Amino acid sequence: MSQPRTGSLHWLLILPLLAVLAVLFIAPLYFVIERGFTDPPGAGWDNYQRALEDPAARRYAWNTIRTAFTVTLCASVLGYTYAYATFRASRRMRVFLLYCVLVPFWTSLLVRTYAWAIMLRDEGVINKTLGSIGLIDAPLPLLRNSFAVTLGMTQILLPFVILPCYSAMTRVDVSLVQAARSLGATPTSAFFRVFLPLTRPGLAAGAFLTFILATGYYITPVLLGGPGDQPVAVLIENAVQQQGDWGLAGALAALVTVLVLVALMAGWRSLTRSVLESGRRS
Amino acid sequence: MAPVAAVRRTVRALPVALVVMLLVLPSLVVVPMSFSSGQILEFPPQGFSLRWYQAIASNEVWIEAARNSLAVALAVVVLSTLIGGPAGIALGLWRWRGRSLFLGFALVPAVMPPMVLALGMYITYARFDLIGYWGLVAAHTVMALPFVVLTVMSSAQLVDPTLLTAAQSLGAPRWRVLVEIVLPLVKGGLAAGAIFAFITSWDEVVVAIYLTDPTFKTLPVVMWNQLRERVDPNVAVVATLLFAVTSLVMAYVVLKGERKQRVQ
Amino acid sequence: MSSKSPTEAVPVQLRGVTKRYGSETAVAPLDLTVEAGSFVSFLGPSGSGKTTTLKMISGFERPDEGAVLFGARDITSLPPEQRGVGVVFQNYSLFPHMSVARNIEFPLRMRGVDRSIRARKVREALELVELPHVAHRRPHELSGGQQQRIAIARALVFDPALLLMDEPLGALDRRLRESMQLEIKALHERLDVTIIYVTHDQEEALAMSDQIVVFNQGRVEQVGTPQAVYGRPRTLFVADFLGESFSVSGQVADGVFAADAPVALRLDVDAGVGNGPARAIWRSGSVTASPPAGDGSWAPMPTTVVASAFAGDRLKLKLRVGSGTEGIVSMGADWPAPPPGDALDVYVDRKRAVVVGAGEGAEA
Ligand SMILES: Nc1ncnc2c1ncn2[C@@H]1O[C@H](COP(=O)(O)OP(=O)(O)OP(=O)(O)O)[C@@H](O)[C@H]1O
Ligand SMILES: [Mg+2]
Repeated sequence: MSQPRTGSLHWLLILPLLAVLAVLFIAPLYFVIERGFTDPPGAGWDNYQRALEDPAARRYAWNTIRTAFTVTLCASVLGYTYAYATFRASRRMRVFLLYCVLVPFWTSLLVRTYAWAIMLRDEGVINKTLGSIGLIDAPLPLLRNSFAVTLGMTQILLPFVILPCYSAMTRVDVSLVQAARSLGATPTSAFFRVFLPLTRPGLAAGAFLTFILATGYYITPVLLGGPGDQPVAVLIENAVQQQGDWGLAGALAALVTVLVLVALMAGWRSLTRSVLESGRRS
Repeated sequence: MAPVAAVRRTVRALPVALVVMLLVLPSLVVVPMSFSSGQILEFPPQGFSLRWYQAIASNEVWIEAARNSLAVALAVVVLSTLIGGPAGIALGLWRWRGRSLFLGFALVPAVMPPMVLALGMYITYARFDLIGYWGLVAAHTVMALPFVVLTVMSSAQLVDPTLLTAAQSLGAPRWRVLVEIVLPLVKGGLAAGAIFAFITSWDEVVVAIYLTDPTFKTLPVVMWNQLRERVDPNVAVVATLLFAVTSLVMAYVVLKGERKQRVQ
Repeated sequence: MSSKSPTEAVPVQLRGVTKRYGSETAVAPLDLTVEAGSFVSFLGPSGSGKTTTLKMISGFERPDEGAVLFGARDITSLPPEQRGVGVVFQNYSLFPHMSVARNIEFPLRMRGVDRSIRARKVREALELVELPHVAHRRPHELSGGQQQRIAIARALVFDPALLLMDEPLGALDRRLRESMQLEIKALHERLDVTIIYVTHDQEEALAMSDQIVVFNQGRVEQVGTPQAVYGRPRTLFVADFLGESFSVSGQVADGVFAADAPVALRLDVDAGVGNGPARAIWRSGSVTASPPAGDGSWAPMPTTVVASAFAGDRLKLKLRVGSGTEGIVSMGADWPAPPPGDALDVYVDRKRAVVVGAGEGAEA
């Protein structure tokens, strides 16, 4: 399908967005990063050196990346499985399963996170139930640890894996899988050799998105995590709120931004492919 | 044979059932908690009462916050569709040089860590005296734009390009083709984008914490403060009310979309 | 809109028009004049440049070289919306969000026509295509044939001097296509409009056109009346593309065609065919198994039957001459079909043979 030529009309249409993002998004990003070099005056790369050498900062960085990886892994496995089940389900079941993906969006992220805290705490419904049926003597430590953070963040980020995976699956030409079957592939090998590779762009897009979003999370680790789960976002906030150390905060913000941009570029192909094709009729 | 198949089916359904639980459980436990008659937020709740609903109805802080949130979100909806809609059309309708680069740029605000955005906006907007209502509107518009761009782009991609050619051959200049043909055909995408924009603003905490002040607080900010201090079922009531409203809106949208699909 | 058309049909002229896509030449330098008020078909295989030429006339593509003229006016760089050319597309391209009436009204609104006049014109246009009762429906509530008629009404409602149709019936089934062909023809006779009609269906082109322009690989192979391009093809390509033909290869020397052995046949050739390899071509009517007695113009030709097929009133035979060329001819079906491999002596009409050069460009 050939698309019509545009002349320069497209410039007129994207200009407002460019202007708004330049003033309201790029400028703030610039100013906060600038602080990293100018606070205190003449700081140069000092703040970066501090950020990179400070053992506490390293711990927070490790927390961030570890959590992001775990969450990405959990969300990818669960999300792909769920998308596949949705894809294979009957019509009514499919509508139901897709509806369930959207339900989390209806509830405030804060409240969803706090609901976990209530269910997971020592006197929460899970520990009470397990205790009353005699499975445990003392409450399990479910809250204020990595488990709670992973659970809460996976819950929030699952839709970002499920939706691109599902959309990639609906675009697969089912006759390819049938062809593989007719050529002697077992259902399992047809899945792994044909279906999975064909839907990998969707999975990759979802996984990248999850990872990138997870690195920036703040609310969930604060409400559900223990001291060993606090991410860089918390360190940045502490630098500003407790020490008034805008220089360190600026340097850390720059580092996180770079991390996000690098991850974004690594996943760029699969992300744009998924995004640019999702609307196309196949 | 039959029991084996049944067991296998159950085993296969298990992960899906787990994910369903994971997705909906947090939304669902909130509802009974809001009807608690106890003093604190807990599950299962103590007793049943409407006392927290009455408390909310007469609590100025919550009502004021809800009003603020609504005012911000509505302004964000208007601004982000006005700014993001045209860009989404340009991205979905035509191929031009730098298109995918621009798309990437337009989407970055959605993946930036909110804390970085919050600090940057805080120091920048303060220079322009943009703290409070308009500052928050500006910040949330930036965060909502990617969703509008994406949804409008997806529906613009579905517009048959020969319709544009046809309109032009019938005497319509370029801008009239956009207004008379493209705009009505991407209405669905614009509406979806508007809903996403609304939810983005309505639910945003981190940036709102920085850009609001004691005289102007939004709902998530009040909730955040509550959750860190004394936790009474007020929060659950608010969440339940919001859940009910959004569910109804979305059910309406979904049903309407279904009906439209059936017609076409 | 019928008799007193405000814009009179104008001749369309292409002068040395060329279009390249990257390194590929879609339309080679092309010269063509379309008479005012005539019905001209562009006929050619897929990818031969018909649509590209049409787009340069409608203004959606700009020629890399050459000029497009409406009458005496050079419109090469005029944007499409200012050309006032009606265009009908293969997939109808009705606006899905507008009713049929709004669709037809669209070009009038774009021209700022008064509301009351618009209503009248829409009504007339709907009557013209015999669908006055569908005005308030949406396009998706119409059948394919109805949609295409509305598309035609929409392209005609603003009285264009020129109507371009790019395979307008391509999406319709055969029976509907045939009845629409007659309707379009009737419309053309009723209105003062020049029609350029793209098709790759040779029967359609033969049935509808005043003139046929045969395209091949971005070039015009031949321009002429249906009778001329069918009966007197100027190249082997035209002969092959416009229907069944039967041919033998040979050599032209000094105005005489001599068939290759084993066929013993000599034909006088018009000036214009140079010396060298050539083919003599016959259409189905000039090949028979049983020539009328006493007509000296029929010459015998020994062939081998390759395949045969029964086609109702006719018998289609694929025949091979000597060891080389094969051709398809239709004959009366009043005799049993010979089995493949049989030898069959047919007779060809010397007077209706067409001899074309078989050198460069004739390989198709
Ligand atoms: N937008 C384009 N970009 C590149 N090449 C093109 C483009 N449009 C057409 N072409 C090429 O130009 C040549 C002529 O195409 P054109 O569409 O004019 O053929 P056509 O005669 O209309 O064929 P069809 O009967 O299949 O419609 C083809 O080789 C085609 O591949
Ligand atoms: Mg074509």
